Amino acid sequence: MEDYLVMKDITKVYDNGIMANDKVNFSARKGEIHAICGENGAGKSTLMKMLFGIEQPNEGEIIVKGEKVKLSSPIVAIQHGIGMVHQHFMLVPSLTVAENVILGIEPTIGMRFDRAKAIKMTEEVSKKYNFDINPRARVSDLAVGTKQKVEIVKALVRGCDILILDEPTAVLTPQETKELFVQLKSLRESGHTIIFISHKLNEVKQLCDRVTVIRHGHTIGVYDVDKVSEADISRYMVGVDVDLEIHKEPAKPSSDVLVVDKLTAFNEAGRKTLSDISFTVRRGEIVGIAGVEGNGQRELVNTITGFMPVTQGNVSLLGHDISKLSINQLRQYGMVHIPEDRNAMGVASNMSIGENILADKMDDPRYNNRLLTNPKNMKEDVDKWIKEFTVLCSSGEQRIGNLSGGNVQKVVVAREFTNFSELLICDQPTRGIDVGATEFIRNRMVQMRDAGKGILLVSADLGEVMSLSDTLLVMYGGQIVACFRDVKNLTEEELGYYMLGIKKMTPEQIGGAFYAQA
Amino acid sequence: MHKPKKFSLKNLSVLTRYSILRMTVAILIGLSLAAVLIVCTAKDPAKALYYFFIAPTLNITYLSYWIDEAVLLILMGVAVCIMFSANQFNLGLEGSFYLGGFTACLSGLYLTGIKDVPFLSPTVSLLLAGIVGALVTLIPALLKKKWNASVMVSSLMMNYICLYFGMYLLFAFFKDPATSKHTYQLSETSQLLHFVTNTKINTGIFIAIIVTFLGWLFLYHTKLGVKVREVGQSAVFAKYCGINVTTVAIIAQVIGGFIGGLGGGVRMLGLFDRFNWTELTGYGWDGITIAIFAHNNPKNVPIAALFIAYLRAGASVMSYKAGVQTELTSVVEGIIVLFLLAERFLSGTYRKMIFQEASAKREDEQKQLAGKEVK
Repeated sequence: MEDYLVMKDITKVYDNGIMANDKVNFSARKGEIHAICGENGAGKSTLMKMLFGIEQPNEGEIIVKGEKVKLSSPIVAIQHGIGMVHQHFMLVPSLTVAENVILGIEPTIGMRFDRAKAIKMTEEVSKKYNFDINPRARVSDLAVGTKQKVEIVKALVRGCDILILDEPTAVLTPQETKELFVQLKSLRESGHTIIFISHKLNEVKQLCDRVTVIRHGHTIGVYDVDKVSEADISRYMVGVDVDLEIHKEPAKPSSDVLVVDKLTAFNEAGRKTLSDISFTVRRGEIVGIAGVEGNGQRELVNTITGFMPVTQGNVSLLGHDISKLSINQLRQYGMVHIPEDRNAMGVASNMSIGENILADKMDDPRYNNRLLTNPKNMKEDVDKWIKEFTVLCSSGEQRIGNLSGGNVQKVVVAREFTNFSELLICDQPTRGIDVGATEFIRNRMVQMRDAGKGILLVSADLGEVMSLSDTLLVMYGGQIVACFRDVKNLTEEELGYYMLGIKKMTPEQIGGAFYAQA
Repeated sequence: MHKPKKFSLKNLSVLTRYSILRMTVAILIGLSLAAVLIVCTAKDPAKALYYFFIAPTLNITYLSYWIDEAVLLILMGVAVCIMFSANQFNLGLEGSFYLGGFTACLSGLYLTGIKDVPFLSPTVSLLLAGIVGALVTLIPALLKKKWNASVMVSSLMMNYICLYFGMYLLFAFFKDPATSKHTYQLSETSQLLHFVTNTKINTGIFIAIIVTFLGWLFLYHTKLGVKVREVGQSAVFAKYCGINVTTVAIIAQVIGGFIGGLGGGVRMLGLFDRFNWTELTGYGWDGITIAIFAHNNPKNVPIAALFIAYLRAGASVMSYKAGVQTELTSVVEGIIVLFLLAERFLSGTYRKMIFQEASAKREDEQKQLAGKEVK
């Protein structure tokens, strides 16, 4: 079979000087599901952005259906039949499914928008490929899995026969993933080419025909999926054998650090975002919170860390009512926080690594002489921590925006974990970072636990919450719907039922999360 | 393509080299445009160009135009640097400058007991000017804190309040009846010391140097300054780090306003013996131009200020020697700022520079690898 799509010797250097792709080669055939594997920061997304016209390569050529093309924008890419489903959906929540699907290619009668035709177009495509979606539903009311289907239909309606799916399963529950795979396979039958970006190797094995492995911006090779094992792919991806298994002793929890008691919160529209949340984090344990994103995790973390006021209920840190404390005081009492969005909140990207590491410590007498700062002590600690946290950089004076995601996150962890701490709030601590940094950060968390800190871990990565947590809570619709004390014997499947809201524990069972004395 | 020739240039980061290139190209475009305009409008273009480009170096009088202007631009540049480092677009420096000048004059005229003591009198006057200037920028900052009023809009309005309030006071209470719009005359002791004969060059120079140094020290070597920059870079990040964002922002505006008022005082006591300003001077806006040139770092302010002041001194000599309008310099300044602010200006060249740098690094690494394998 000849190649339907070829990307040849593609090189891309970003404006911050990082060479994300270095002479990368990639090709896909008609009617195959082709996986691109590589760890975070390897350059998969960059390659796909160039294929979808979001970024332009510095070197190399792209050949689609035998024709050399210049993909200067997504519009051009779509004209060539290339569609992309992003990890973060590009949908207008207030519009209906049909309106979203035809956005930009609106059918009209004269000057008017032809709603009936829009619905018909959506229905036709979704019936043809067996997508079960209601064109009249409002997107804001849809589940994550359904939103993804809308994205796929959107691409199909535009006549795309090459579909790029950027980590589509990252936001799905195991059940939704299964359903997606059935649909992707049927698309393959009808001659569509699907490019599947993932680092979940079991999924690649289940679904794909071939796999291209990328490492540090280089193509490592193209393999037939049935001829390589998961272990092989993983070794190609990382270059060495890695051990992502977390080795930890059973937790020895002691006194309470964080007590959340009947916390309830509302959003601006008055809708409940948190309802009656109660749990305790004790010294020496990791409490994990699993759940599909958008089920109240963000509101919970924002409330605990002082970004949102406590509206109803109580939250206390070591017996201090947090509603009376500023963020600065919370930090002084020993709360440290790895925020969900490191680029928006975790760092100031135009400042240096050193300034970022010390950003919250400027009041420390160690860094101040009488009036001026003490550059000697500052440099000493920055250099020490860069080494200790293995941040890959030329010096502490380097601009942090020029580092890779994994190294930026290490700087965040270095700043937070070197503070005086009692409670660690780790919100998606390893999202989007490479395996080495992930392993490092997870092990650090276990070390901190063993040193007697209380840790609250919020993560959409099921593997992460399951391997790290001593107690695991599941959030659905702003509530805690499950509490597992015995995480080891829990299956992803079982967890999925709770995440989807299909199963729910009784209040007595959930009450196990709450130890505080009345 | 810009290729580093000197070894020292090579050591600079791509970003720095790119900034220098951008700045150079922008200035060249601005100056060429000025030259074209002069040639088109002047009766004697050769004479006009001559004065425009080298007048300030011709004699001590012309030189003093340059220096006096630079001193004011430096002060206002540093003031804006500090406010903009905290990302506070407080535009009230015009008002600070105006009332600062007025305050300094009144202080020199009416503070009995002090006004005849040399050195002490101008010092007190300048301090008072600074305090009044700080109040001017503080008001919009407080309005923001209390009622979330846009700092930009309220500070702009403040400028006019300051101007008309000042003029009202001047005409109602402080005018010398023998003049049309002037206060009484300041004594020598109340003014800044003029230490070069036949010029207005004054001790304001030293104030500008000290303020620049202190401004840089503050932003880069004090904990409050670091916090100011954190707030400016990302308010969310600063809040997350436990910094009281509102307070830090207010402090930055107060410091900026103080320096702005000081600038007005220096102009008043250095260049005038009576206060007679009946319109806003424009130095507050100039500060913004300078801060943009200086990337909000006081360290770079003197160079930027000397450059702009040179253009202005040249233009003013040209205007009475060759009859070309001084407004020409505003055109040049405007063009340069426009190019510096246009993010995409020369971005293609930047991409190429970055790409070359990365390719060179890749080749180095490959060579090293090859070397290792041979061993």
